Amino acid sequence: MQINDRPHDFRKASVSAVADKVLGAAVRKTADIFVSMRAASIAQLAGFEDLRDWGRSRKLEVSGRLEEYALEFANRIEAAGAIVHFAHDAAEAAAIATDIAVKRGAHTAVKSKSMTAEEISLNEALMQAGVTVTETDLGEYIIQLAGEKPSHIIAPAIHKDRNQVAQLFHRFLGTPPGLDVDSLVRAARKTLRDRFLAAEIGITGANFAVAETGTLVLVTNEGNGRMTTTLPPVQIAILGIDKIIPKISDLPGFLTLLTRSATGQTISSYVTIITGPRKPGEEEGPEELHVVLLDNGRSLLARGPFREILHCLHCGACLNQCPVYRAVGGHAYESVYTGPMGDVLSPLLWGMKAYPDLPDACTLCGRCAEACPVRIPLPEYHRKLRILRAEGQTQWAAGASAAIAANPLLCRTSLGLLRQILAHHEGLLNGRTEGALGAWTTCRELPRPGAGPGFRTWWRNRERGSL
Amino acid sequence: MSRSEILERYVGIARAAGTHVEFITADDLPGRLAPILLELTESRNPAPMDNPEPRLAALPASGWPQGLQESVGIILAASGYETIMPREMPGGYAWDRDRLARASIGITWCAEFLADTGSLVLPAGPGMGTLAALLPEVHLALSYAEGCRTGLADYLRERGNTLPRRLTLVTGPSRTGDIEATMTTGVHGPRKVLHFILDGVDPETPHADG
Repeated sequence: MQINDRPHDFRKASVSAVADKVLGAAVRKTADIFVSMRAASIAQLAGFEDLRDWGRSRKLEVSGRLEEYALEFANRIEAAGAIVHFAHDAAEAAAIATDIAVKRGAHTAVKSKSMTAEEISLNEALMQAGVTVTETDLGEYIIQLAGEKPSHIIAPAIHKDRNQVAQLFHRFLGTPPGLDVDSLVRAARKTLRDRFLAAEIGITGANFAVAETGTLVLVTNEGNGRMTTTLPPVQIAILGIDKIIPKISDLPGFLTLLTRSATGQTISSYVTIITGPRKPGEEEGPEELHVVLLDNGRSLLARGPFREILHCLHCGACLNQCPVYRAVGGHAYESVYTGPMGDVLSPLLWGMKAYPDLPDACTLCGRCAEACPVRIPLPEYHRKLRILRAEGQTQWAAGASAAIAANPLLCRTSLGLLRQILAHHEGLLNGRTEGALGAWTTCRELPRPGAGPGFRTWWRNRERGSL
Repeated sequence: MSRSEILERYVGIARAAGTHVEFITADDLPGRLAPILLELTESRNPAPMDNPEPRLAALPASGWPQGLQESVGIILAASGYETIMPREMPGGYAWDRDRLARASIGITWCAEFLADTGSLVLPAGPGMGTLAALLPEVHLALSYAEGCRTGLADYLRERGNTLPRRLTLVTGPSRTGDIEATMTTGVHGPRKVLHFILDGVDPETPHADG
């Protein structure tokens, strides 16, 4: 989901985000909790670094043969009774899911949090087709009521405090004003329980899809994943082909990498491992299971220089560590994918024209790469994207300075001249906000050359031993 | 690791995840279950939830060891509880979902549980009624100590890496931190998970040898 049609302006969006002190404090508080829980959880587990290497190697195996694995997964889960749909792009995936709902004559759907469904703007497509979609992850439900976007991948409504949530529930659910957190959670339980029981469609993503067995794996703490895949008569699972892991024996290792990196939990409250729709004689589960396998550029990415971005487990560990994300929060990215992995993935999925400056939302500090459970080289990818963006652009300033530097006489003369000018006209460059140098001087002071001899003279004298 | 070490590992990790693990004997079951049932109807704390049928317990129809389901049913009846189970119909089972959604406790047999993650293993199947472990406010799982496995990898290996149609791992109560990062239980599933191990001795309780 690219939110705007116009190119995204991260600098502009981050100015208002930084000014929002409530957002900033909430994002940093949440990130700090996740960071310390992750650290504690990893410290008590021997061999986590080896597990990260293993995770990367298994993901390299998949991204090296992405289409083959997608086919194997599709064949297996079809053999288990599911109906598989391949979607080339976002529009096709949304159309497939909408078509399923319309053909069933469905009007209500419950949804368990799915980034891939966000990527294809599924809610909007279903609403247009007359299907009411209720988000059932509590955080997602809160921001759905508020008409806002997630500020954190794991804790989407963290920018709203309890009073704001109480007001929303008062307005939309008719609860008394000023409820405490516990009562708010119970009010949500009551409302969403009714939605689960009435829903005609359950929409999910998948945290993993096992090729060998044709199995979908969902990880939740609230239990909404279990409800969504047990109560409605139809389940539609939407997943990118990058979610595939080769074998069921890979699952325990990936679960450990995911939950310890995301929240520091040994495991999430619920892991739901689904291999096909309800079987004859069973009293639970959907009669129909549709699996929408989304490419949307992934098979192309797998063959290019950013292949490992497909390895992302969506754990959020890189967000929590990132100094830029911690300063601005999720909204400023104006994309479903935020933080370091979003800086890389958004321009790759929607084009550099749509997200021209997200590769700059990075200080190259490397903390994201340190935290990534599958060792995606995120800082390196930021740098590569900047290089790609620069290629083909007219670099007149760089070209001119290269020409000057290549000619010693010209270089000496121009630098000396510049020194003289700056020494006598201090205000010439500083304080300017317009023009080619404006980006530099709006936030920096160019120091006035000192009274000393200048570097070149100083160097010459030093060579002569007269320092 | 020895069996008792694996069990000790389970107990430590499951308790840390918020599961109330207790070691009792089958004979203790009435004495331990009755107060829980009473507490659910009387001191409903926190404030009453949305279920108008506090004296309703949900049970799976199949998968129980010989006689245990009947014993549980007798204890429930003696405490004034009505029992709801998947009904056997021609061609399979069916839940009365609306009633099930109002039950205050679900009691299930849990044949296997995992030490490494402190998880209960719930396979689906005809009459296995896993919704009894999801929709009520309280979930009580019953097991024998011999059901303890090291972890998911061992569990899968024992089965030659084949899976039931649906397998659920349950580790502690349903929880959310989505409002102000305040951890709250019972958002969709049970707010309380109890696990009674019907034989064996609590490895965390000091006891005299012999």
